[in-house]
Amino acid sequence: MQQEIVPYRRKLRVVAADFLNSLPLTVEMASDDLFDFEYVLPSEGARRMMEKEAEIALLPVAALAEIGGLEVVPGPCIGANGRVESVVIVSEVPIDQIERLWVDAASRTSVVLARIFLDSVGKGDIPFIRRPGPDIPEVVAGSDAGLLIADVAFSESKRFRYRHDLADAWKRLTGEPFVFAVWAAQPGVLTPELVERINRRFWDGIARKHGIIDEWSHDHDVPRADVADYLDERIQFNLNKPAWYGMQEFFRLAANLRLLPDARVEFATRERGDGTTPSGFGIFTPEVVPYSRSYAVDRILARAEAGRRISVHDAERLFEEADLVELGEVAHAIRTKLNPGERVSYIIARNVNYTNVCNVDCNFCGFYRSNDPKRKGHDEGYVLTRGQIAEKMDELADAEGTQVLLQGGVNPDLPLEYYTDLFRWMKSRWPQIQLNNLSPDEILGLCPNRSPEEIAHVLRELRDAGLDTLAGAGAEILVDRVRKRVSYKKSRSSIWLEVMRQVGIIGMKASVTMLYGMGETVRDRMAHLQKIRQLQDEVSPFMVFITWPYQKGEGQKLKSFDSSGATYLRMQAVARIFLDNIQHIMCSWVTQGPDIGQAALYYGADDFGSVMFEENVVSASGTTFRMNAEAMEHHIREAGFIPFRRIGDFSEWDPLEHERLRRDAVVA
Amino acid sequence: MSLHDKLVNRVRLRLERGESIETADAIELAGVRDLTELARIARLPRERRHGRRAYHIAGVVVDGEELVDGAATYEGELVVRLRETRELDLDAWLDLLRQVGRGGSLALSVSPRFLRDVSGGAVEDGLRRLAAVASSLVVTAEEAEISDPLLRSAWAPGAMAFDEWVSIHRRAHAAGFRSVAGISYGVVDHPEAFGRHLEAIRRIQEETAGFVAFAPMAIHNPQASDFYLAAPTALQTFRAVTIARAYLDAIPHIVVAPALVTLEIAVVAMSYGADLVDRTIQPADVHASEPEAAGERQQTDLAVLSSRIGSARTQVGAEIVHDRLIEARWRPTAVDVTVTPAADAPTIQNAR
Repeated sequence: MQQEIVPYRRKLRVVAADFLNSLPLTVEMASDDLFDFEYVLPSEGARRMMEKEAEIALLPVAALAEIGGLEVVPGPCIGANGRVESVVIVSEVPIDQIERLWVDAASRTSVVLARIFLDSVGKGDIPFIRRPGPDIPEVVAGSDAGLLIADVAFSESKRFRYRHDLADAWKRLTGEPFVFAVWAAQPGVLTPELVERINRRFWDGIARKHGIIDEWSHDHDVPRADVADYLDERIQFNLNKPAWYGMQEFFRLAANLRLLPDARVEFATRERGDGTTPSGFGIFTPEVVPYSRSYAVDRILARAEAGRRISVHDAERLFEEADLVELGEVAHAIRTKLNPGERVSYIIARNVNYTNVCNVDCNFCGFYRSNDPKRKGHDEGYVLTRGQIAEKMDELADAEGTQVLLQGGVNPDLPLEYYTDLFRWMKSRWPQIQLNNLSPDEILGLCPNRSPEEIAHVLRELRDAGLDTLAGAGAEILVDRVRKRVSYKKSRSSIWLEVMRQVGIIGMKASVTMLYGMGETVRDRMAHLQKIRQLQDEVSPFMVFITWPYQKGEGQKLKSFDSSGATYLRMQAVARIFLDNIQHIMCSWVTQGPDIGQAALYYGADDFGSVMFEENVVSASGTTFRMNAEAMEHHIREAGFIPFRRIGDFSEWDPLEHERLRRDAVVA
Repeated sequence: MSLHDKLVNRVRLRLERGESIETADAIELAGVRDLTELARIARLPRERRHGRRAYHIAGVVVDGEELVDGAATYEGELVVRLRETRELDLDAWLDLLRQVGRGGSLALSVSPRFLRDVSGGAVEDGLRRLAAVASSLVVTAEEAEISDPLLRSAWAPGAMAFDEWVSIHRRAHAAGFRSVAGISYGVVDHPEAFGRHLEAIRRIQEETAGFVAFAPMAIHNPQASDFYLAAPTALQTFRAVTIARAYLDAIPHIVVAPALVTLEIAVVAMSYGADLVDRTIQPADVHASEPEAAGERQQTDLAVLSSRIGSARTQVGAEIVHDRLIEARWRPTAVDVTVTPAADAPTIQNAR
């Protein structure tokens, strides 16, 4: 008898939070055989959707806009038509007297809603300061307000003198409900049958609501009446017409404030494959006119040029479909708005690779040597002596250099004191030279516990010893699937970002990079940019962004992809358009050559980088180029720009100040 | 609106209406430094002619001198550059080419000097006999240099007179053969001379319609006082290409040579009016280029030049060109030396 062959069909990966308000939407989905279901935090769900590691997610609406290109399941949502009690701004003074807002940045939608609300009451410019949610009530005092969310809001908000329920404020502001989260899917996943199935699971969950209330109140020791009141009276589960309008209004206001990209919400079709319509669910599916692909690219470019933020999906489409010259035009227009005047900066700086001993073993690095005696090349490891460093610094000083980039491997034998002593010595000997030293991974090498507090402590110690800015090396691609493949031992993206977060929190600045062309997808690259942009929104650590392609060197196994000059210009232009909150883009002539570097000035770059005395790390894999100041100025002038020298913090070089500092040097 | 903006707008409007631009406009365009404006100017004439197509010469490229020196055998498509006669007469060359051409198809890229010397002045006869042993043949732009006699004598004293160069090309056209026109451009701009040279080329094309392509060729000077002056910048290359595309509306193709500007620049130049990547053009073809210095200095100069234009990328095979063009979102089409689509396009065999 012939066996029936059942085609393999991978289950759809579905993620959602297990908060109280999402349980009616998720409890039946979790037991449906069609889905590979997992409960995760909302931020993790957003990450998985952005990096295409999930097909369907109960997604906060802010993430819907930021990712872009997703389809929304009509029918269920998590919303509120008025007071909800779970998103509240609290303070001890009236709203017009608050001067700072403490926020738990884990809930991006709530943070955006808070900004919209405060803007509507004339407080749109007050700083938002990040803090873990449970700690916020302690710091609300004086003119400091706090944004409380979920459990913390329930338990703590009532003790403050002034409370602003943001869902209620939204209703007053717009007349519409506020939608916090919806079921969203990757394009092409939803079929009419699947939409129907999700809605059936939703109604099954609604039918179990009382059971959910009983269980929750028992497990969390909360009075049943309170839980029932919340789920029955406060939360709106139906994505009806007013809710949809409310969602659109949220996107519009957020985009106008440049908090979110313009979002064009796409709804899955109501019709079945046979043209019939499922009945009985009260599903509202508004008419949405789809755009053609090329028209969409034109619209994205036009919006970007008009100063509107674009989504991850938009950026992906620009990279894949936009004409190179049109991309360059818009990137150049944005560059000019951010950096007016036809000026291009450059710096006289030097890389000092103080050690090549490293225990991270990146596949794409030809520079490092292991400290493991059993490994080949172990005897080629070095740590530069003070004398060797002094020689290099003197050369830099003689050339009127203003910055050093001390960068090396993650050497496990060098303690924090090595660096603090070194920096103090460098700063006293060469005060005119700014220290743009170390990568996040080198910082993490000094933090055994890798906690935010430890990272902040190390950064403060280094800053107090003379560190001016942190180099942005080691970002590669901030998608862990890629990082695990190309540099397994390197920090995961969240911890790399945490280092930069702490840089911003303590008021320091850094550069940030992207090394592409190691086999990652275009979506991975845009996810990298999104994480950078989001962090910049939070704490503004970044002065400049630089990107370049990986180029396979001799003896290296990792293949390189997309390494052409044309792709580099395209990538840089998209980065300029996307990173609307980072002022400077530096071109990478070191890897691309001075000609492509020159062209890059019309594809978003406003900085020509550094005169290179030496460069060992990138040179160890792939071709590199060298240029002096005259050559750089020649290329900048030939391109119609005015070159000017800068220092490490991107301010213009002042030769008098430079000389004054040089004279202050203390020679031991 | 500034005079500069008026110029750019005037040129764009003319191009949009399908009209030719004046020589004076071409001369003034030599002062444009804004890449965005250059792209806007070049885009329409390039798109109208070629859409998203980008052409590249198929086959393995060898110098005729290699055939004389060595006993290598070749299969598949072969493009032989004929530049120096090496004191062989036409019959000897024909024998050599017949042997080489047995392995597959043979295309000839013949310099005007070779044609003149090997045919003893009987250019038409020389062309017919060479064409008989090849599947395609083109007379190259070598020694086009610049028409201005003062500049020509200063830059390329060893090149043939421009009138003679023109005469050879005219005779080739009259005999039914296609050729490539060209111009040398360098680090220092000479807009007036550039414009007059283009004017001369345009006039010839209006009379004979024999030029199939135009090749701006970058002058290399490894002995420049500063290494960054060893070759024109990207902007100068894009500008030369844009002006050529905008002005020479009767010449179908605008060439970029990876060996002169790097493959990376050549591919980007597609967005500035170029449409043909020509691997047969080599630095030695530009007589205005300084000859390589002999002896000890040579390695240093070559290293300097390498660092200046990245010559590590200049020797490229057809496959790499094809891949780069696809990566840059062009539709690559392999062609023979007369820019006719190759019979076996897009499969590329034996690419070097």
